[in-house]
Amino acid sequence: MSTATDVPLALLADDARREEADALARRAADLPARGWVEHRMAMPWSLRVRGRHAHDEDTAQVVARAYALVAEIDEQLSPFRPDSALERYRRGELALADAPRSLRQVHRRCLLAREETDGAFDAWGWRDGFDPTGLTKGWAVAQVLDVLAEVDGDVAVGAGGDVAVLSRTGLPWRVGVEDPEDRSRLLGHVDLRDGAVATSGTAARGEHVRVPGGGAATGLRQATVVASSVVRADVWATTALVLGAVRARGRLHALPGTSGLLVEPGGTVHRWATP
Amino acid sequence: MRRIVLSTLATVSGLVALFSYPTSLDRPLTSDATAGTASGTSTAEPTSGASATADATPSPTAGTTTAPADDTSGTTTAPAEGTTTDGGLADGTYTASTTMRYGAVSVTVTVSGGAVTGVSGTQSSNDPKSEQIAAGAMPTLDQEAVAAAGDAGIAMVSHATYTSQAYAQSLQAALDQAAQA
Repeated sequence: MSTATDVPLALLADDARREEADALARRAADLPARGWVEHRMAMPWSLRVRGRHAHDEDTAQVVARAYALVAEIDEQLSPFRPDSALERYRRGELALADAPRSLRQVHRRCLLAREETDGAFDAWGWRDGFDPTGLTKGWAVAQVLDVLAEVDGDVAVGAGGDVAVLSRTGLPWRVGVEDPEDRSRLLGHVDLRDGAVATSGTAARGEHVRVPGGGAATGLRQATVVASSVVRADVWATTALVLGAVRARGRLHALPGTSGLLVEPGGTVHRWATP
Repeated sequence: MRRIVLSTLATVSGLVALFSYPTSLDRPLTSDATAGTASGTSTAEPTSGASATADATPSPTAGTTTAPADDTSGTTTAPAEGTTTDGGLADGTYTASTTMRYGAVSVTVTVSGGAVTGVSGTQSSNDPKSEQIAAGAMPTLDQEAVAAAGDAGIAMVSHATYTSQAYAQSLQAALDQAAQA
């Protein structure tokens, strides 16, 4: 179990605000809701619809289209399919201008991410050229949320730990953050109406994030970033791992419109919120 | 002692400048810092180029200055002169506030054993979007057990990417199962 230590007491639970938030979350949990889960891109995709149309046939059709979109993105951007647009681009058989929208968009977002993170998030820093895999999942989650948003209700998408939500009822989606030291527990939660939470860590798949041109990133155990865009949240959660505990704290504090949790190797949890 | 406090306030001002970055190009920033043992005025030049001033007042103000960590009474007494570690900072919690386009931002720095042990920030705002980031979207630290997750209204779980096998044993899988029922 991680221990929360360095949060000044003054910033911990304001009881009145806390009770109000809990009451809203309970009301939200009482709405009619339906969930789906299917495996795509080698990971489970959890979709949620909340509100009076949750059980409608029309809603199920929108969900089916959302899953079809994930399959299509996977066909185009998979690094494991020799015939994907990504692999053909990497082999020089496909020009970016002729590539499907997904590849062009992900390529552009990778350029922006590298610039915004001063090179810490680098899709070109791997051993064999352009590999956008670190960004593809977040981008796909955003596309799926766009499709789900056609439903007249509250919608949420979760894949590989990235969660993006949209609420029309005004009631929040309560998103938990897993404790990397005990996966059956939550380290905390965040209430969101329109936004995203992304977590990157070394607990579940070992040290899979690598410092560009270097070894595995080990300076931070887990980073969770809350932001308005899931791509941004995902990019910065990954970047935090690359930067390590000390540099991540300084950099994320300065990021407008973000909040989150950093879990240091010793279990210390650091929390921030920047308007 | 005075020099130490001033350096603390300079740190606070620098942190406020960090928080203020998005608006630093639009207008100069003014920040008021209250520290328990401080007297006098400290001015810091943040790297953004905007000017920030920290005005320190000698009296401990409830809510902005809290007791050092070893004082469990929770009173707002300022740390005594004698708590300063040689060459370090005076123990205590220091809060600096500044006004930004979207509302007030405050940064709290905790000094314990002569070193900065904690830095955190919060804000109040009248802009709904940034209010959400500040209040609703500030992750609440909790040790919530699986059994309590449903009762707490948890809908989804953010976690490090894991394999399908690891997913099968996860809290997200349990929530997914419940949601399909």
